Amino acid sequence: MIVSVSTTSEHISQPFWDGTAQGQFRVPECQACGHRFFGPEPACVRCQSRKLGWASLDGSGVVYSFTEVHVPPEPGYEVPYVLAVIELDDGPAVFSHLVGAAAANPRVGMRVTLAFRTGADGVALPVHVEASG
Amino acid sequence: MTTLERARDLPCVPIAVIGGGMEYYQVGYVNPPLLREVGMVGQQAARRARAMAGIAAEEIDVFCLYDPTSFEVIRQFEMLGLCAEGEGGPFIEGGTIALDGEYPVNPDGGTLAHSYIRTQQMTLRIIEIVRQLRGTAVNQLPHPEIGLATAAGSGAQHIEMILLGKV
Repeated sequence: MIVSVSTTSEHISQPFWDGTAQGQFRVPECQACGHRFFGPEPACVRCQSRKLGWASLDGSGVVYSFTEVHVPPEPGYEVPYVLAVIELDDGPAVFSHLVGAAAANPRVGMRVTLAFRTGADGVALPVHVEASG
Repeated sequence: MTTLERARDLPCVPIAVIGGGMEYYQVGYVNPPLLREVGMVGQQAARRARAMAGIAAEEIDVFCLYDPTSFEVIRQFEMLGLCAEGEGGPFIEGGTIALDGEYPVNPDGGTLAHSYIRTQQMTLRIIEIVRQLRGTAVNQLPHPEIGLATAAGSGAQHIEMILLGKV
């Protein structure tokens, strides 16, 4: 998983980080057409409206695909880690890390739920764990 | 680039842009790409490019395709309609895309085996087509007349393509 984050304070993504600090997983939501997407953009990726808000999501979903990363893209990553595409029940597909038992035995189609892990720099990051039951 | 009229007076063999197209799915690099959404991205652009050139995909002699991964080459043959969706894997087996195959791909090695110089790798795809059509390529094909260069693809959720031909 990521143990420190190098860029957390870009203006456009600040509401996301404000959310994670409160244990919320937020994605941009278009106020004109309702489309949810991730990550943040200056305009809606579907209708181009600039009236964007943020939706706080439950974050549960299904593993669409995954890979185990052994070479980190930048310093601050503890390798190996399992990078997954999660199709959210109440939002878009997102990249996330699988942690715990889900990382030991990842499967396409696995039900996962949202969790947070706080890195060495104190920044809380959304990750996914296998759904219980 | 210049007019064909001027190009004919220059020392190099002129090569013409005979078609082109581009296509987007939502916005590049927003949301991870899902195969069911971007698996055929570029199909409409390829149709437009072929219509501009007045050719069929089967008439393309050399393919310089964006190949950040080997998968993307397979996908682009499906996108171009040279094989059915989902059959790109078997299609490229057996040397179909080798130098002496029916649809030679990236004789210069592409981004996987030549170089990946960030966005300028797109220019290399076009340069290789021009060299192939002029007969000055390092891994020269026998007498190609039409070439296709592509940039980006399903992962980026957008694609650009250009058809070049001898005049």
